[in-house]
Amino acid sequence: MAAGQDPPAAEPYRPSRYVSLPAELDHATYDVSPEKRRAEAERLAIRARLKRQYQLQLNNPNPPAIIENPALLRWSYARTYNIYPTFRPTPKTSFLGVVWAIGPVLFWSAVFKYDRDRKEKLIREGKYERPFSVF
Amino acid sequence: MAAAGLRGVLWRRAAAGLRPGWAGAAAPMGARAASEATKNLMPGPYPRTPEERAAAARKYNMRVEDYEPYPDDGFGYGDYPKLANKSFHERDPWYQWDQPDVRHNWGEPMHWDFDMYIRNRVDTSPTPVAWHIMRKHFLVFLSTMLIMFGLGEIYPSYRPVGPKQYPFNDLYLEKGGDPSKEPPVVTHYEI
Repeated sequence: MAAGQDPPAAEPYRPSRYVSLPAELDHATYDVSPEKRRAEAERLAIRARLKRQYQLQLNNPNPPAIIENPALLRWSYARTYNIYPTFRPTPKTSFLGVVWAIGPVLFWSAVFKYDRDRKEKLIREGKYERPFSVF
Repeated sequence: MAAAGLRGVLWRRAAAGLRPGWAGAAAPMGARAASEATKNLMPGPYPRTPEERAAAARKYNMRVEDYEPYPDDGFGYGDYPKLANKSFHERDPWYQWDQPDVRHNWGEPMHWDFDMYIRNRVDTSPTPVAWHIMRKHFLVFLSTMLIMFGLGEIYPSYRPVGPKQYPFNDLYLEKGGDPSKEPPVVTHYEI
C-alpha cells in the first residue's frame, strides 16, 4: 500500500460510547512517560498488598470460615443502603422520578380507558361481535 | 490490566515497598474483620473536602489521583468511585485473578455496574468494525426492509384471483338443500 493511499471504502475507526477503542489505536497504550510509569507502579503496589492480604488469609493453616471481601461489601452497601441517605431531590431527579414512576401509570390508564370506551361505544351501537369462548 | 508489561520487574520492588509505604493503612484494613465494618469502612456521602477525598480513596484501595466520585447530582451514588466502563471480557484472561470467573481481585474496587459487566452479560471489548459503521449498515438494512414491507402492504401484488368455486351446484345438498327439488344451476364461466 503506497503511503497516503487508503484502500477503497475504508472509514477510519472512531471511538464509541459503548465499546472500548482497540489497544492499537488507543494513545494511552503508547504513553510511557515517567509519570504514567510511576502511577502504574503505585497501582501495582496497592494490588500487590491486597494480593498478599488475600493469600495470607487463604493459605492460613487455621483459616477463617469466610474470607470476606471488603470491596464486595462496600459495593453491595453502596447499592442498597447508601442510596437513600445520599439521594437529594433535584430538578433532574424529580423529573426522572415523574417520568419513570408516574408516567407509566398514567399512560397505561389512558390506554386502557380509551380501549374500554371504544369497545363500550361499539357495543352500544350494536357493532361489536362478542367473542364466544367455552374456556 | 495495563501493568502487564511492568508486572515481572516491579513485583518484587512493589512487595518490598509494602512495609514502608502504606503501613498505616495496610495492617488495620486487612486485620479487621469486615463483618464488624465500621462507619468509615463503608461508603458514605459525597466527599467535599480534599481530605475527605483522600480518605475515600484510601478506603476504596485506590490512589488519590485515580479516585473520582460520581458527580453530586443527588442520584444516590455518594462517594462511590467512578471506574472505567469496561466489561470483564476485556480483562487479561491469562493473569492469575483471585476470582478467575469474574476476573476480579480481592479488595479491588468493584464497578457500580459490576453485575452488568460480567462475562455472561455486556461486552465492551473493541469490535473489529467501528461502531458507527455497524450502526449505519444495520440501520440501512433495517429501514430498507421495513420500507419494502410497508410498500408491500400498501400496494399488494399477487396473481389475479377469483372467488372460490364449489362443485355440485355450489354444494346444494351439503348446504341443506331439498333433495326432491331441482337445484338452481350455478355456472362460473361465460362463453
